[in-house]
Amino acid sequence: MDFTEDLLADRIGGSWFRLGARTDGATPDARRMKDEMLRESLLLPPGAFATAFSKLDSVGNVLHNLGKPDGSLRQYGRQEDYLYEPFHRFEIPFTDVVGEPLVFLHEQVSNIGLFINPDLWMYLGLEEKGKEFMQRLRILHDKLRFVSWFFGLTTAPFVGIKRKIEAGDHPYKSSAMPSDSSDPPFAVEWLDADQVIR
Amino acid sequence: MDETVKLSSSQAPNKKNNWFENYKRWFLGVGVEWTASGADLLLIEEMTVARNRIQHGSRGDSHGLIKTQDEDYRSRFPKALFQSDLEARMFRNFGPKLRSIELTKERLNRAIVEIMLFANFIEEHLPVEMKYWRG
Repeated sequence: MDFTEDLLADRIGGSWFRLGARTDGATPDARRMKDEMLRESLLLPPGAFATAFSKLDSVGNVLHNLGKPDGSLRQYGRQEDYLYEPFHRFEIPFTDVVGEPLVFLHEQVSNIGLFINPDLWMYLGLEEKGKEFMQRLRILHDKLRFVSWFFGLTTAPFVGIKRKIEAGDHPYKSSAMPSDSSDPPFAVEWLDADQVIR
Repeated sequence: MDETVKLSSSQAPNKKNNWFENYKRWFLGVGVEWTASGADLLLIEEMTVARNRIQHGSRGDSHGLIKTQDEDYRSRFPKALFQSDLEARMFRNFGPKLRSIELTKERLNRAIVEIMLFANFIEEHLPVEMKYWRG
């Protein structure tokens, strides 16, 4: 696996970087494989990258708790200290490097999504837009799916009438009686059904 | 389309005098070139004209179920997708020039594919400050 493209990613436009990304609902390909992406970000003190990077090991082992508040109990002889680690403080294990998660995975009972550190949100004065845009795209997709379903369902009886007339099936069996009209049998019914379909 | 335009601080395009071209130019101004989408733009434009004729156009039959093209529709889209095949064949060299507007399952499916191709392209290529967050 090659992560070069992710690790050395360019800006996505102007002064914008993609600090977080997550695949939502990837569909498996022919080999039943899913292409999924998860990107989170952590702000490190200047000069601390090399130390932090050397302890990352397998990235998921160290960073899987990013942005999750934690607590630990430490004993000094008979004294016990309870240490609370808030979500905005992330200590790289076995180092003295402490970073601040910027964008990270946030799991709730009903959904999982990316969470943006409120400090970043407030500092840059950000206003969310993407959710509305993605919702509109999803609504458009749903409406088009509905239109296709509705069209197929509502025109089916009339497609059936035309087919039966053309095949001479019941109840459109032509009479053996001679007719004065030069039109084919059930021409009016066929034209009516055709009009509805169109 | 209008909702997407609202995401930008730029002035909205003019809806009169060939609005399709005006919107196309507006999107080009924010870096989204519709012609690069691979979608059939002529067909997408025709959909909007066909929709207007169906909504506001004159009746083409006694039941009021069929709507016909007008001169503008006919001249802008001589190879229109939503025209009656039967009439196109029957009246190729004579008879009425304005065709009935006709929708079939196949045409509807093709239209849906083109719309989604177009909408997904715009979503992918909108500038980030319009798409995600604004500072």
